[in-house]
Amino acid sequence: MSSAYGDAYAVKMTSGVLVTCDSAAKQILLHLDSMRDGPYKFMIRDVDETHIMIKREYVEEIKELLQDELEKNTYIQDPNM
Amino acid sequence: MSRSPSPASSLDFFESDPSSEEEYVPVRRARKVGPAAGGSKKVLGGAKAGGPKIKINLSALQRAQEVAVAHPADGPIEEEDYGVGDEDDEGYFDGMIGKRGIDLSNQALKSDHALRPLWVDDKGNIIVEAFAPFARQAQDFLVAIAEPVSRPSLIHEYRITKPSLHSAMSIGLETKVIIEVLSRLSKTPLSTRLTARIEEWTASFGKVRLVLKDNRYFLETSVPEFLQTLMTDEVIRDCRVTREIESGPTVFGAEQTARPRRDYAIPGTEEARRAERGEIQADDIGQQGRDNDALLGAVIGIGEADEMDDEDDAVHSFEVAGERMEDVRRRCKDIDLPALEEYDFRNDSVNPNLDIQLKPMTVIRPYQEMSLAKMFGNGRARSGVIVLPCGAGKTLVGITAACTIKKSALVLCTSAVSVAQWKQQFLHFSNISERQICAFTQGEKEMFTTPAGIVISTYSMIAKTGKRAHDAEKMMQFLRSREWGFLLLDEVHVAPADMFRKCINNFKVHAKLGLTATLVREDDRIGDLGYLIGPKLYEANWMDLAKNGHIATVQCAEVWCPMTPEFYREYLRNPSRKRILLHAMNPNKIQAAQFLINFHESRGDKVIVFSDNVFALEAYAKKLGKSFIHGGTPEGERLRILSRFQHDPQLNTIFLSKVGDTSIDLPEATCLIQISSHFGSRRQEAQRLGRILRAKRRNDEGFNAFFYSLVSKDTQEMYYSSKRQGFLIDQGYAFKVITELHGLETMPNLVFPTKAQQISLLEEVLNTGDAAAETADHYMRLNNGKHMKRPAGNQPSSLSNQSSMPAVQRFTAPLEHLSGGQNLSYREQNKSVNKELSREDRQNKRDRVGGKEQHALFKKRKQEMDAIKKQRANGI
Repeated sequence: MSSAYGDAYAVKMTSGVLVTCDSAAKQILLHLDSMRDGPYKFMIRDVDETHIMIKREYVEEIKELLQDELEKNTYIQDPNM
Repeated sequence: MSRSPSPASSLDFFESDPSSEEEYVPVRRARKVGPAAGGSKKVLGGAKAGGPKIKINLSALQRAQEVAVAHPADGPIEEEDYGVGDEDDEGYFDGMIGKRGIDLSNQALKSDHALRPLWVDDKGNIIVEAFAPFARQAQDFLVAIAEPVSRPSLIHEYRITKPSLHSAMSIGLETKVIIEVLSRLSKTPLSTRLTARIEEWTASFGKVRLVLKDNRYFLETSVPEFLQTLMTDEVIRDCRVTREIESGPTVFGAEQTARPRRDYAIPGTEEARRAERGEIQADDIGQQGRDNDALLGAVIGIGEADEMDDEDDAVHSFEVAGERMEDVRRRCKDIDLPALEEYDFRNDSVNPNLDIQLKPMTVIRPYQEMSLAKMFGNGRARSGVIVLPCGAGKTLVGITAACTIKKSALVLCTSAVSVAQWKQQFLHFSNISERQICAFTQGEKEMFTTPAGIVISTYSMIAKTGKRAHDAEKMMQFLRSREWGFLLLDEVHVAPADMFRKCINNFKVHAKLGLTATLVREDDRIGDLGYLIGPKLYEANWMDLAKNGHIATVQCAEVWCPMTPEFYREYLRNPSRKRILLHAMNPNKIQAAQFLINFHESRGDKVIVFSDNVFALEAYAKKLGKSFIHGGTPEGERLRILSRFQHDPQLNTIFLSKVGDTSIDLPEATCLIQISSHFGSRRQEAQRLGRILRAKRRNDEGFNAFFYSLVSKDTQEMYYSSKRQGFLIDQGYAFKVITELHGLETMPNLVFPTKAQQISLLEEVLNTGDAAAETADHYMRLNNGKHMKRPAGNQPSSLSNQSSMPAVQRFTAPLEHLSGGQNLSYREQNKSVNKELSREDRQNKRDRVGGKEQHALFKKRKQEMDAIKKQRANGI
């Protein structure tokens, strides 16, 4: 195992989840990722404009964060107004 | 992943509701709501059971009933949409009762409920079924006693509040009438809590009046107990004036006079014209034109209610000192006996009359008449606010009010341009002569020489503090020294601002009338108007006016433009100030704007594009080759562009900054596109819509004006856009959401078609100074009368402050960046259409005046003609 890291031609495998989303959501994900450090980074690969590969264990957390981010732009009428 | 605004929340609720598996959902929900309320099983199912019974009784109204029976659940459900949020069932339900929802599930329905249009809860919330047989009459009544909250097409919502009841009292309705009519119209018996509340709120109001008669202030009331309370109150007692000579042996030293009836007509109305022709007696005027349905009794009409009020036999009054008016007014409010201010203008012999009348050809519309009838309800002028949509003839209401009072009047509006407009309208609609009317602005400072006259000025002229020019000071003294019969406040929603408050308190004014289209402010100051001016007298229903063709029918749409990935990336990374610029300059938005402009120009529409952000405004206008006006555009250029816009078939689109919201007299446009706006200002949205409400020339089927709001998706704009629409939605406008513009891709000459161009635009946006990100129009903020620094865009060179350069920018970049390696490009800026216009104009003028190109034949002829003219002039 340890020798594999030294070998540039060895196959490296990481399990991940391919996320399909629209370009804006992808930008939000990238932005969230860029604010994290080291092991907390969840992005594995930026595939193309609408796809991104992320670590499986972060999926639920990311869903929530994305929801919060989008929620900021939704206006809910104050019922007391 | 794109989220729709508020409507989605109600959908969420349906989905998350575990018990709704099948069936017609609203009914299920209504049933579910029932038991939670109080265990009663009657609920809205009762409505269903009650329906068929009546159907047998009154077959004539069957159809209307069917609608009503099919919909009874609609009332509450409509409401639930607002309260939903994300509470679970129980929390949700509590929230609903506490807030705006109505729960009447434990109430028994009256047997003929289908005929009655109202649902009234014990908090004073009212829901009207606008399709019900008597909805029309019910609304007339509700407008008088309650505040309209929301008026879409089928279900209307009103709320009874303390101020609204006070307004009702001020137009002469009485408590028992209000309660009686309300209970007649309600489907359920009124709760005792509500009636008690109405009684409590109305007990004191409207019973005490502050009247200015022969320049003496009187407090008068028809209830002796109140008089006693007032006279024993120490503050007011101190303010009382006793005149031994005049006061006879009266109760509590008060005079007794009979209340006057309304025995004159408002000029310009049908009544007045008939009266002139002698067809009816003056006494009948109050009753004319009111054909109320016998079915519900005749109490609904305001006219009748007025008459009832007028039957009060005696009025007790005593005089108070004029210089202590402020104390009295405040004290009256404190002891819960707010004094109404009224002006008995016909018995005012001290102030000279102004000879002003509407021209015979001037006709005022029914709703204008109605609003004025409320102002002059009992033969005196009441102070208050009239709310009419833009373009519905607010000016004429103001002028007619002035013509009714016939005393010196002071008109305040927001800008010098509207001063000129008011003056011109006065001359147009009434027979006032030019020397009786004068303007007081930066440029004009004249005084009328006749004993009475009209002065028109702006709020800022009057409210100005600090040193004034000599002639301005003299003018102010003149204004302060006089007693004014009538103060007219245009766009009155600006008045609560601190600096304008003193405008109102500075002058000795008998009656005040505020006019506005949008009685909303984002701060809470709007309530102050009740104290500064008076209650709301009348509020028009926009939809009704549109239906009757008084204002244009508008199709409102929100166009969602997705952010390009590059822009969105920067949007997420940048602080919020810069974000404004990024979502305004979104290339997809520019394309959408271009598409809409092209589309409407080809339809023959005149298009106005609004942008609050001056940088975006210029960038758009130059890119799309249109002319623009913002605060920094010189006056001459402005006029030139506007007149071209009005008359030149080649120039169909102009870009306007915030200055266009109010202070520019815009010609009639039929299409309006909004690209950036002032956060969540509902007032601005409504005001801008007002710019196209005048467009009634076209009589096409359906819509005759278009209002587009371009919104960058997934940005703050979505939030603000929904908020801004609040006011218009409450007026009954529906916003259509457009997610894709068909044919946009295939349009020729599309701007920013390639990624590279979009990125270079992004570069440009990111490199502009911070000043450009402001939504405010810099030019509007005046600094000692001089314009503040200009934004980064290049300006028309005719500006006076040539010396100030664009601010220096500092940014870090690798060397290849400067040589254009990273999408930075040095290129010639697009030429401003403004400049081309002015060049053309100069050219035209030269052609006309210089006569260089004139043929010798015409020249000779012209000389001959001139010679003949001269001879004639000399000869005669």
